[in-house]
Amino acid sequence: MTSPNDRLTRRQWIALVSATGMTGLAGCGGGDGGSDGGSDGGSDGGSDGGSDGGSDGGSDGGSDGGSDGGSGETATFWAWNDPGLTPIREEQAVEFAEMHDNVSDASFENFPFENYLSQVTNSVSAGTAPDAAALSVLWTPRMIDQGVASNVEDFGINPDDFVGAGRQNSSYDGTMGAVPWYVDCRMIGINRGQFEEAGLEIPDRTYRPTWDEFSGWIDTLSSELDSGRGFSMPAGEGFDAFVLSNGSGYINEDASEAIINNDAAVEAADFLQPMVVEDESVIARPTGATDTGIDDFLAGNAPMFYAGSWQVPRLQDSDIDWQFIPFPSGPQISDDVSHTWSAGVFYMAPARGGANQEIGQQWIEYIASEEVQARVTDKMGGFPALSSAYETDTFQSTIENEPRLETVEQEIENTKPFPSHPEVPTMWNSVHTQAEALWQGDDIQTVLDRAASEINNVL
Amino acid sequence: MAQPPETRQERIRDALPSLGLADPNANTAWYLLIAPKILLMVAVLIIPFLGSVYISLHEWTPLAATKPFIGLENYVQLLRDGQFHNALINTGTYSLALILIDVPIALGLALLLDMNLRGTRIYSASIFLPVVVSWVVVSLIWSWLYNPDYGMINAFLGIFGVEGLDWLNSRGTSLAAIIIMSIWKHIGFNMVIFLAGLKGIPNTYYEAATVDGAGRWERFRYITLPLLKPTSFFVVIVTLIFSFRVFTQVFVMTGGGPVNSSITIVFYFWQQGFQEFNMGYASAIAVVLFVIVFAFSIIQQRSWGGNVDY
Repeated sequence: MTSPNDRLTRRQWIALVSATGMTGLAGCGGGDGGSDGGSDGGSDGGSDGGSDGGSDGGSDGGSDGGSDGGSGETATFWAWNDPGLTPIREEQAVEFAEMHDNVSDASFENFPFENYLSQVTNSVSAGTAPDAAALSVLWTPRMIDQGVASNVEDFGINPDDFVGAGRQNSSYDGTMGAVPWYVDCRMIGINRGQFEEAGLEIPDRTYRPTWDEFSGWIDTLSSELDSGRGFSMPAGEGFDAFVLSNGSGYINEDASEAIINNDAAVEAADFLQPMVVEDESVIARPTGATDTGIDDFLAGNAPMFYAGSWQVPRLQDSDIDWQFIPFPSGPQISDDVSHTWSAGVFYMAPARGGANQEIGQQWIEYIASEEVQARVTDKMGGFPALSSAYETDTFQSTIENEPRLETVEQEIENTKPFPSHPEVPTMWNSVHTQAEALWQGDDIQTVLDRAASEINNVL
Repeated sequence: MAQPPETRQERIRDALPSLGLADPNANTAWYLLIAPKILLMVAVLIIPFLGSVYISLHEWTPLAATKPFIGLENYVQLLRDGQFHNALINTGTYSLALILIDVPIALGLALLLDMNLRGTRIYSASIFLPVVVSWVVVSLIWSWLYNPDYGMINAFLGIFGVEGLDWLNSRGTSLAAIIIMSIWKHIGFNMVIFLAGLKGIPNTYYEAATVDGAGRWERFRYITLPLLKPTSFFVVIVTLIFSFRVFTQVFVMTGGGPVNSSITIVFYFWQQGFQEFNMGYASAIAVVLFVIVFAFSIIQQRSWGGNVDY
């Protein structure tokens, strides 16, 4: 028989029950993601599990699967947050679901850009991948190399139907692992009002200045305008554009050696460095992404900026009288053209990781369709990756309604694909970090040799 | 008819299984009480740490089909990695700055507030306020303050004819700018800890010292400082651990730049793990970080951590 002293007091019982309850709750919370993901994977081909694993631990997976009641699959697509693109993606998801009988519901899940790639990577590892995922140009070769991205030619997609840079940016080692939703190019955006205020003649929209002309404009604008600045660019990408428009790049044609330290690249750095460091007439923003130039432009800090075709909606919404011109052509370019990066947004259908490959294939076909590609310019300012979309009435009427896109139409042809290599993000980081050193006034050849050495280490 | 409370309590006790939990010699109940905490710690700290050690011995990329064992190769590579050395130096500088600047100032503020001057509560609340604000929010606000074109700091310097700096975009000032912001944000925490330590020192010591003719400095030097030793130890250790974990402000304000001038160990760990997906290498960085912090803590405990009874 037990004595009263052997028993727990009321307080001890309360503490024990509370602790047990808390532990149970913690255990249930942790286990839900796994169990739901698993069960959905079984019933819905893994699509629900994929989406919910990333967003809310799988709690929605169960309810989605239940409400569908077997009438169709739930399609889940992933992308990174982009306020300009989110409404368009939502429209596309609705349209996609309406077009496909086997899909009862389709939706996008958006993640912060900084964490997006790790979300996709983890979901593939965990077997909870989405049915299709947006990719940046820097990530596509790696996904193909790791066997994550399905070969879209297996879906009946013909690589030759796409513009050259878009096709190459979607491919690695002979495999086209993604389709571009749109392609873009880089240009110079100018404030026409400030050009007039500084006494400069406004160039034609398709007129390509030389570097000398361009630096002359910067001198005039920075001396005549209150801001004291002539041009704003992101430190890394801005440098890339001048390197490309002088005939150089990250690596040579056969991807065997870095060329970022060759004479043409050094000449580009030599052209820009005095304007950034000594004259301070060019702003080179070391932090932030591609869009730092437009921020300065819209704030009135710079009358010219490193512009991208995707920025058209922001420019249209502003009160500024703007236009584009082609990127200035460097002295090493003999054929009076300039080259800038071609990028865009690419979609892959994961070949593993529990994604529903039927839906993935349908999404890829939807994105590659002429109807979707022809609308992309009107929707968000990017340009079609599908060559035939340029001939459609939809596209032609978009250009007629916004003649300032004439520059983009011309420059799309001059874009360069990124190096097709799984380690292109490392190259990108190396060059951009060293570009920051250029704008701190470091010795040009030393800096570019360091970037070349880092690139050669990953080739 | 209601039974007396004692009788009901006894009946409830009799109805419940005993398990022998209340045996004062066994203390089983107390082991059960701490078991959830121990289990939680094992689940979220010990197992992940052992997992990190395991992963650090492999060439581990999440999407790769194979993850080959490579022994200590990741650690050898760390020894040769200039970027890691740079991160180590920056983190050490940051940590040293916080210990040498933040801790003494926090002690000074605590001493001032301990004097019970007028407005003490307002002062202590305003100094402590930044502690409860999110690091992301504070980092964003300070990024604006540091802006070379329209930031308040350069505007303030301009009043005295001092030319403004490009705080976050210059290799020479980016880390210093982060340190200044971090001290402002963190100093209130240390101040409150010191203040609690000061309140715990009995007044009788000061009264006795005053009777013996000790001045303000002597009282501080021979009573306050020695009796604050455990508090100071705690503050330094906590500041050290906190400073080696510096990430958010670097991520938000500089991204480790320009030219990696503000890169820190945790930021480099994040870059390697979640940007480059070299999980094995990132795990090696995490293990080294743990060893560094653990070693510092042991050294400080051995040299400085003795208890003071009063």
